[in-house]
Amino acid sequence: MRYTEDEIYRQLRETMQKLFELDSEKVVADARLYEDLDIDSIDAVNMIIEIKQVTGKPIAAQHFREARTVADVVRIVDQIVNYDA
Amino acid sequence: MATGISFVLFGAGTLLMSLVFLVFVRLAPVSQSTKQRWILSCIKGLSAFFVGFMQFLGLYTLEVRGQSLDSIRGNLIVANHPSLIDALFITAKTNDLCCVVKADLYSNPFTGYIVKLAGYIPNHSETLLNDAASAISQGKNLLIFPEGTRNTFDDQLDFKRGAANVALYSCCPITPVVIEFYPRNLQKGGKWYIAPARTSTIIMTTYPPLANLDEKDQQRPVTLQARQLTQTLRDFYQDRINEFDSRTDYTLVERGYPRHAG
Repeated sequence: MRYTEDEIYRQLRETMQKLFELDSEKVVADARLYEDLDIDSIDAVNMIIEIKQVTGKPIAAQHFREARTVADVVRIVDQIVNYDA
Repeated sequence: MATGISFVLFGAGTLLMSLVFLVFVRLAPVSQSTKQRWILSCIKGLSAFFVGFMQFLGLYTLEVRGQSLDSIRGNLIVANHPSLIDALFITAKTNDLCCVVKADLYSNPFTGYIVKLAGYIPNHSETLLNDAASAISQGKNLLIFPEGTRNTFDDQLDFKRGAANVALYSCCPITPVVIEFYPRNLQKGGKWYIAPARTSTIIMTTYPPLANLDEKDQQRPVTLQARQLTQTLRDFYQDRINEFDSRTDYTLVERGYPRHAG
């Protein structure tokens, strides 16, 4: 099934609330993962594992290596769940 | 002057050690893990010599308190980081110690070869958690400075979560070491060629391992446990620093605070 961008944002906010106790209003497109949301590289790996479990899709950590903002993460998840085989 | 001699000696010592390992150890017909243990022993011995030598030159007086580091295995040792030579105090006293080190040590001509041969772990490594867990399971100790770099003043305590994540992933105890170094010398941005007015006193105290998180906290996502554990560590060091305050008479400047702090 295809996920809309809104659904991906909603899911990401839920994941970030669960893993980092982040308020939803902080999880906006241009929020920077490290500087604004205090998500370091080990946090990012744990977040990817969680996203893998939620979407049921195989996701490799290196897809996210260049991700700097929430928008980047959403874009990458969108690519994986909606376009990749 | 004494500081200058120490820098030269450190440079010479590391180069000599690199050379010895490059030429002799590399060719020795023993296993890689044996070679690594040799190197770690050698680092321990050289560190002890160097620490003693600087004391002999009058750069500081050193007092070692608390638990002995000598008998511990499979622990994560953490320490605050007031000076350039902090790691040496710990490598001098600890057996089979694998350090998690800053990237720039790999490109430094004096330390570069040694950190690679010793099997130290770069702090930005993508395999940090696995490598750390592997070292612990082999009975090695790990050293991490949660601040990641030298601080400028005591309660800066800008602790990153790497240490907590390693301890949680490797399921190992955390042994905190507290380093008091007054007056401050060899700190980040400090002018090493200007000796402080009075000889520095260094007190290194090793405390018993930190208690694990409560049962119920251990059920939380590991990302939250790492945040909680890092805060616990910070609080521990803050308490020790508050104790310094009550028993020392060093000026704020001697303790690394900017001149205008009040």
